[in-house]
Amino acid sequence: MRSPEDDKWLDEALSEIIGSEETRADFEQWKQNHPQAVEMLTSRACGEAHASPRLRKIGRIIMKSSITRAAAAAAIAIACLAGLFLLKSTGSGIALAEVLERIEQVTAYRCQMSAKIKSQGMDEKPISQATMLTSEAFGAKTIIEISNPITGQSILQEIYVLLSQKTITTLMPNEKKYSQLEFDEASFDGWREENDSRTMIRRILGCEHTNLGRSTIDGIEVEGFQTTDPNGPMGQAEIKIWVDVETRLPVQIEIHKDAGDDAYIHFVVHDYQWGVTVDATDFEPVIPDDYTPGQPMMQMLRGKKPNSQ
Amino acid sequence: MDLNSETQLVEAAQNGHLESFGALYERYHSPMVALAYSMLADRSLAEDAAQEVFVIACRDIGSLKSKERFAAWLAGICRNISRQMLRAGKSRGIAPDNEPAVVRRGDAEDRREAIRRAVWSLREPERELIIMRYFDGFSQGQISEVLGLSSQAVNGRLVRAKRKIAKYLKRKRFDGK
Repeated sequence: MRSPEDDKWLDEALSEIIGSEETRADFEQWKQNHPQAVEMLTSRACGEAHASPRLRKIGRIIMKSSITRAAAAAAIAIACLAGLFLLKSTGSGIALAEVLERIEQVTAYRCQMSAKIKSQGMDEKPISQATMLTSEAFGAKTIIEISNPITGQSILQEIYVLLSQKTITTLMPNEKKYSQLEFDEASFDGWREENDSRTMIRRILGCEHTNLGRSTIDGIEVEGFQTTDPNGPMGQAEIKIWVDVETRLPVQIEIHKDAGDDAYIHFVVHDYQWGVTVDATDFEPVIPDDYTPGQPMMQMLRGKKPNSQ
Repeated sequence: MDLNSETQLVEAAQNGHLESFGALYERYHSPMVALAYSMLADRSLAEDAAQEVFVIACRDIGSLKSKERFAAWLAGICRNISRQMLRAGKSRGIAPDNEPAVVRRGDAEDRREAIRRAVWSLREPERELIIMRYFDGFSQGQISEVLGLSSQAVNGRLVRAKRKIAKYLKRKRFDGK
């Protein structure tokens, strides 16, 4: 087959068929049509100008700016939330039990994660962003960008978990390296349990949790629940789950891990797309020919190298 | 794109500065129409969705913590609104491929229809990319910002998506000849 890049005709056809008759952005018209929205915005000028309080006290360093540690922290968030499907519900709560039940009906979902860190002498800074695709049948794929909060330098990793082979493959495009690890049955099952979104919800069900009431996230009416989980993978952390009141599926999960003295790390998992269609090829890593074996950064990816038979 | 100035615009809008919000509107209206169109397959509904995106953005912009991720945040709102519109049955989307919906109208029309179907047979992330790329000729940088992907990822996915479209058309016996 010819490369699509060579197919000028396809470019032309797509431009012709998809191309717009130039959409006009008319803000004046929009303002006239939406006076209440304008009012809401302009009222912020006097009402909420001070809405972002500066954190005054300098905290102790959480991670001493090591990019490896930042990566490990990001990995914990993935471990909490990226999720494979494994557990059966034994939850006894009311609304969250319903959420768990709904999640168990989903066979695949996509979500995004972002993490920020605040430490000594440093304003809050982003340290990682990830897109995660999870399937009960096939495994999980995570594309994560990890930033060093001091230098701003970032690296990209693609992590593929193949359930059928019990392997984790990591591609490191910046270094043109890859790693492949395989797990024995027991450690893989343990890893799966820790990486199941439902584990998080079960833990919240097992803790005291409070209802945060209703709110709106990205246009969706949500209801929130909050707890602090002393037995969670991050130790005592404040966890909030925001659930779509209509679908009863999570819209956003926030984890705030306080390290004292105003130092913290904050994870948000958002933009969930529940019940997406996937196929096996979505989870199969393609290792480019010029990649050489390397060592993955993430602590969670420890395992043994596959037998080279 | 000058990210700093965009961050400043977002911050000013968060403080109630309408003109700054207007500048963001001008900048992202068209990408939001394209994004909504990729889900709704209807230009007029996509325009409605984009209007609504900015109503919600107006209301919730104070809650946006990562000012540098304004475009991706807006895209998230747009996807949610479009999904709600789909759930509410406002769009029928493109007829599934197994429906005998293609009426023979001559080669050119058939080919147009086949290409439309090829695009809408792509999975959502790929379809978003293709529509963003060809809807209004957005640059790779703009697409990357709105979809929250690296330029590398945008490029790779575009190539893969186009390859799938070409394959689909070949299967249906349409090509560039």
